Amino acid sequence: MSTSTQNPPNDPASNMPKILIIDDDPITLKMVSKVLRDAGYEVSEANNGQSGLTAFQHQPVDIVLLDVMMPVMNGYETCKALRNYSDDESLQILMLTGLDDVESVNKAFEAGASDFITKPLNFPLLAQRVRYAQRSRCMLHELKENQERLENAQKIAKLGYWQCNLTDKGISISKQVANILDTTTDSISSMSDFLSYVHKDDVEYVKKALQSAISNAEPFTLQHRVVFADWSEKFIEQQGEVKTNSENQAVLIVGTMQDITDRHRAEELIHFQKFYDSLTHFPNRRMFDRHIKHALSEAQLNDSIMSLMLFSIDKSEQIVESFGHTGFDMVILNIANILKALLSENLSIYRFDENSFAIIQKDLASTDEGIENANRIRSYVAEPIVISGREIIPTASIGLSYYPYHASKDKDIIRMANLALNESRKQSDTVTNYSSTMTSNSLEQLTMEKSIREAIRKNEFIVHYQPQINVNTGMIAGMEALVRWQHPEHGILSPLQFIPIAEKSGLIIPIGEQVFTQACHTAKTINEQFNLNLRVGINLSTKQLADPDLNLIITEIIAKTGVTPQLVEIEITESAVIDDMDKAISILNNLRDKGFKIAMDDFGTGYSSLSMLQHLPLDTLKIDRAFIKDINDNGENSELARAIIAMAKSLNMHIIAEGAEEQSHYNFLKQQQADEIQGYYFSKPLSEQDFISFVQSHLEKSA
Amino acid sequence: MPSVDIETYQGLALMLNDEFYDIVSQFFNETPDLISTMCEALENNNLELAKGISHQLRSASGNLALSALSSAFNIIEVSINNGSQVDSIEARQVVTSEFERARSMVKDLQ
Repeated sequence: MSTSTQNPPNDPASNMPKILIIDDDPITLKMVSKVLRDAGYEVSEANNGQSGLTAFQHQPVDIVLLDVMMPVMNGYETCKALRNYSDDESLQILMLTGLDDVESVNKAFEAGASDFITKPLNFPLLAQRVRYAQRSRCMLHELKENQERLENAQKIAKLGYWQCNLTDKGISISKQVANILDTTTDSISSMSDFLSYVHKDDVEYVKKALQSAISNAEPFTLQHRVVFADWSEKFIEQQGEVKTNSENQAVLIVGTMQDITDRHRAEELIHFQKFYDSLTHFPNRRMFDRHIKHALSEAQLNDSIMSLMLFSIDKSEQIVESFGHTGFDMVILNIANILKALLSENLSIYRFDENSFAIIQKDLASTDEGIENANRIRSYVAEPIVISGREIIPTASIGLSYYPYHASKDKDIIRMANLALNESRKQSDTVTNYSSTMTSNSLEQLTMEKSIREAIRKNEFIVHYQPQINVNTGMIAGMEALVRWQHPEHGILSPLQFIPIAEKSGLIIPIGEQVFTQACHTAKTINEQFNLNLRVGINLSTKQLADPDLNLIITEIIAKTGVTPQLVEIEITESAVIDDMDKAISILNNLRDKGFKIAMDDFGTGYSSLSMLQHLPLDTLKIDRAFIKDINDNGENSELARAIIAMAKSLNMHIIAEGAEEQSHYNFLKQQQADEIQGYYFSKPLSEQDFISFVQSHLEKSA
Repeated sequence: MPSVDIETYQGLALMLNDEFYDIVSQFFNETPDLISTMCEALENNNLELAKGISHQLRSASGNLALSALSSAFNIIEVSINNGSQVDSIEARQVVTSEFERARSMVKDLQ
């Protein structure tokens, strides 16, 4: 019978140990009881083995003093019965015996005795012997607790230990190693038993590592997989040391085995998150940066052609605006799935950034092969995809650069593929190989940016003015302020030569501020000089309109120049408001509240719709020159211009026609009752001084 | 061999106080009957019983520091264990004699 009867050792300070004395001799029983009670122990007695066992079952104790020779059940039998009954391994059973021969002593230990005390008893030492037994019990208990703690810690850490005797190749493993290997401690007794668990791809590695450790008698650490009957795998780490004998021969390996499956998987996840794109599962930019270097080295070594293809999804911003980021992710995923089919030993794909992929092609026969592949990819990608019930056909722009033709360094080949991609993006859905002119253009742009910054600092931007003539009266009604760059070396530069770069670099904001200030100042000066109320039209770019400081800047300029806001017409383009209509309406309303007039410039060339015109707070519509320039003497090619004028009139807008260069244009616009005309028919844009002269001359003629 | 190991005896008396004397008294009261039973068992060749009593009395007398008496019981026990013939009359004489010597000496010591 076995049951849970384990008592923790009693704390001597608070609770004395309990002792059971089993002896059939009443004299000995009494004497021993007396001595131990006097020593502070809690003592119970039994006069034979059977009643002692019953007493123990009723009230387990810490120490049993047990006579050997007793009727009914002798001491050996009683000792065995107590051990069978109790699972308290630290229970101390002291055999009291007058039989001091070796055989009796052996029998006592075999029966499970902790120690024996010979009779006649040495009473003065009896209490000390019992105290010693109690200390042993405490130590055993502590040892057991420590073992349990260690086992728990090993269990939590999934760590076990093993050793291999190199003489007979026998292996012994701890319980935890057996747990890790999902087996029992006795099922692994040799190295080959253990190796049968190792993943077949790792066996050689493990063998070599162990052999190397044995040969060199040095510590080792190795990580490998083990495989189970159901094909599941664990990752384990082994650390060990080789013990040598006095002749320096390896005789023993002692090692630990730890199940690091969770850690390994976490490391794999971290590695994945670091080097792979979570959406497409393609390697990311970080991994690309490593691989491109490697691919270039390999191409150099093999003397082969390698290309870098940068692949960008066209109109990604519009896709995001229309379908949200989730919709865009669907597009990316769809494209990634298409691209996955192309993966090969010589073609690797990376998620380069939010809306582009990088593709490294190795061992190309020629650059033609690179561009053929690119065109094929472009055609594959253009597969319709349905998002939220709407079908879209993604297109891609692709830029290519090649080793050895364009660059041999990773940064250079990436930069060149990027330049080629930028070139493709200008047209969308095209493939472009890098060419050296792209670099020079790029360098020119950088130089230009630097020069523009310098020009802003030196106030080299000046304003020219083109008059706007009232069709009915023939009088000057206003003027459009047009920026020019008074370049110290190249003379007057057209806005076409610097505005795109200024827009791209954000330098348009300080340029715009200078133009606004000059134009307001000029308008104020001329109106005061000639006692007129000429209006000045000033262009605001998309970036200026989005500038959170716009309101503040304009308010300061008005205050500084003293111009009347009602005589300032702010000209915007359709593209400036298309991205965020609500915001644009809010900004324009704000400007209008301050008294400014708002004009839609270059109307008809962008994305405007009638609905947009209705919602925007506009005073004036400026018809783009494209609708005017082809109108001939017979009024042909005038349908669109006619329709625009009719529409603007229906919306009660003031109409200014741009690009009137000939009499026929003037005649047509007068006939269609446009309000004002601007163009070379009356005057080209003039410097401030020339414009003043123009006004003066015009007034004199009118008078 | 002294009938009583006086030093041990006095040590026990000091250690167990009054209870020791009660135990000694109990021993001297109960032992004569046990000796008789043992001797009868020897006469009747009931060696197990004789051995058990001799073992018990050897142990008890030894624990009380009655050395010679304990030794006498030991001889009987060992003889039985060895399978030697034990003369019950001789045994009775020896142990009774030692018992009386011990009782006399203990009385003197008290």
